[in-house]
Amino acid sequence: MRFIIKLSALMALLLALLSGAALFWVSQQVQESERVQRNLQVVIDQEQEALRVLTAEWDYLNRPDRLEVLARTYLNMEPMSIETAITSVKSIPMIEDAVTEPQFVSNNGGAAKNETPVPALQNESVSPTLQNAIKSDESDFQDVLDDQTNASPSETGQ
Amino acid sequence: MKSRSPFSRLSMRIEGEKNSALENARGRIVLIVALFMMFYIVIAARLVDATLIQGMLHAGEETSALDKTNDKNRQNQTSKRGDIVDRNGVVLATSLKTASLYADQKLMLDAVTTAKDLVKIFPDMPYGEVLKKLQGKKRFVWIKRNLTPDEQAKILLIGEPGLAFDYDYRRIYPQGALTAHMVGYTDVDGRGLGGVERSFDKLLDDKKDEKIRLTLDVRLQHILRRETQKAITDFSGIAGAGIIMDVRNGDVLAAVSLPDFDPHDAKMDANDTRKFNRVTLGVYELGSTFKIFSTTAFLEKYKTLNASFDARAPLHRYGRVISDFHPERRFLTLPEVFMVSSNIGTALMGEKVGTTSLRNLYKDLGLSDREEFDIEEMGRPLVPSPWREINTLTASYGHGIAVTPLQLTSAVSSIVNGGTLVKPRLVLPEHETLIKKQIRVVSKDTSLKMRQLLRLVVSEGTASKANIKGYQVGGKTGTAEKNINGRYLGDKRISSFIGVFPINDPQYAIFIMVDEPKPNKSSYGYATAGWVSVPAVGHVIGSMGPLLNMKPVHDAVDIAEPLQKFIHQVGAH
Repeated sequence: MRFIIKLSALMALLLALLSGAALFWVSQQVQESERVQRNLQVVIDQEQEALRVLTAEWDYLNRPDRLEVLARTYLNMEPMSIETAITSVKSIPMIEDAVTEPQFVSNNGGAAKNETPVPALQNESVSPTLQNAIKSDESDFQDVLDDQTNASPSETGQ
Repeated sequence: MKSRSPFSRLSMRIEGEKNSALENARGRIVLIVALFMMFYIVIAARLVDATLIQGMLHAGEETSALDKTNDKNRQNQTSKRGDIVDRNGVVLATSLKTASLYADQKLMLDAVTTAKDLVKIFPDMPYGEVLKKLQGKKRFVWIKRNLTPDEQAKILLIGEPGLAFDYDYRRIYPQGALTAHMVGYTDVDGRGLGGVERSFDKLLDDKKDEKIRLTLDVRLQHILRRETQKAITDFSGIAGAGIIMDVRNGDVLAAVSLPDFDPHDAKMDANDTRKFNRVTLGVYELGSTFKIFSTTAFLEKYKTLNASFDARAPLHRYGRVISDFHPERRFLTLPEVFMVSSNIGTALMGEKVGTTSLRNLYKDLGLSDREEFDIEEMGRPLVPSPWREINTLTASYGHGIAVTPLQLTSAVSSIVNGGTLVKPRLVLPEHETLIKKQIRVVSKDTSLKMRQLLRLVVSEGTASKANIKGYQVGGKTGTAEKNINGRYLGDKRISSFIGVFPINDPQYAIFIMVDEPKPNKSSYGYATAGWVSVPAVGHVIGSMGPLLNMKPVHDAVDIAEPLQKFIHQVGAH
């Protein structure tokens, strides 16, 4: 018996090898994708569980009775009542020197825990580093504005 | 070009017929060898894949995936349930995955040290017991269920391989006792045992990722609980109940039953009185607040406020004596009867209305049957049986008939909202139906007259402490003696008040009841509704109005003004 390798048989063998390799590659890819998907699902489940915990904790910390105690201890405010409710715009007094920004009143004489938090901006007692930071922020902003208006190629960054 | 067969050396050449048979056999052997070779190549390829390729691809991954199949097979796992939230989406009940600690005694390295460390984390566990659980050859011994994340972290820090965690769901109620009676509670296995948890048990179990939205508002719930509790504490009462209802659609915005309980404490005795829902399950003789219904019946029949009743002396009927708490000893007009809460006048009113009409109105308002509601703990009202003529008289001022606070509140809501029946509800429908079936129980005219009378009680009568300026409150007080074993006890009372505001266009009905209030110094020896429940409702209205963005109207007309012509020198007896 003679073993004559015909061209067609060679081609068929080659094709079989190729398709085998391709099949192997595809199955690897599918397995890999499934694994990635499984891992993602685990991460999603964990995130959702974390969200549930955080939602429950948020609502636990925002219990009305707790907020009531905290507000009474730390805020210089009293509960809303009918007497303090403003029912018409006319009952709001006119302010002579218009203050552009709302400012909190600092109660320096009172105990620290009863003090309303004071915003850091535009306050004398801000630490020097913070003031510098504010200033440099503003100057940066001015630089950007200048850049835009002049539209010159000069390098300001150096 | 003579090719040699691989088997040529071993074979002999045979010519003729046998030649072809041998060639055949040889071909078959070649085929089998080829098949075997293929087979081994496949095995080799798979080996390379499984050991080298997969190993390289997933280097560094953990091999914990095996544990998960285990989890699903384990029995008795508490499963996740759907959330319950209030009308604004605040979580009232949710299921959280918590870790539970168990010991695998075979893997335990150092039981003594581990036991010492565990006792440090859980000071309430005795050392000896813990040590016993750690020693031995068992693979699974529970040590502690439902750890907090903090405790779990501390246990992980011990680093003992014999300690392991199992995860299951636990029901958490972030609001604690605040909504305990309405939301309910579950047992260790996650079965609903009370409130919405019980009546919607199957739905919560089946639809794990959906939410049930209740009509409650935790902010109002807190206000109501705070004020009811304060009234109970101030007057040393034994219990209390409160309801805030939207009179337009029957939404129960808040409902408290005091004393209440922590829903996490599942081990509590089922017969504990704290678990008793006084709002829906308790039936009470609420006394004078019932005069709202008898007066409504009278107005429905005679359609006029211009009537007067002889209250000069106690009323003798069918061998019973009906007398007043604060006798006026004169003829009283209808508004006066309602304002001073005269039992004699109301009994006469009931007599004029007649048994059939009065009973029909009670039935229409849902006061004589068990009410349908979104929770199952509903009390059946106590109605006189058989109903004799004398019962018509006593029932008209709230004696001999007992209903739940929820029934009373929804019946009053039905009267003041313009006269259409209000069915209380606790669960918000997902889509509000546009066309609502409205059942008229009382005429619009009667409804308006009742609003005037209710306003009169607050502006001039027994409930002046609930007169919150700007919100036009109306209402009716009720102080009933408690009926214990068939006898009315003068010193044990139930003080209740049902307030409605704003009475010019009613939106909310607030009911507060205190069981067995005792007089104190600040109330000058009184423990009547006017001193106990009325101020509490007043405080609730004062707090909830601004919260709900209700604009106070200081120059609103007093709808009780036209009734002034019926009022004559009250209290000058």
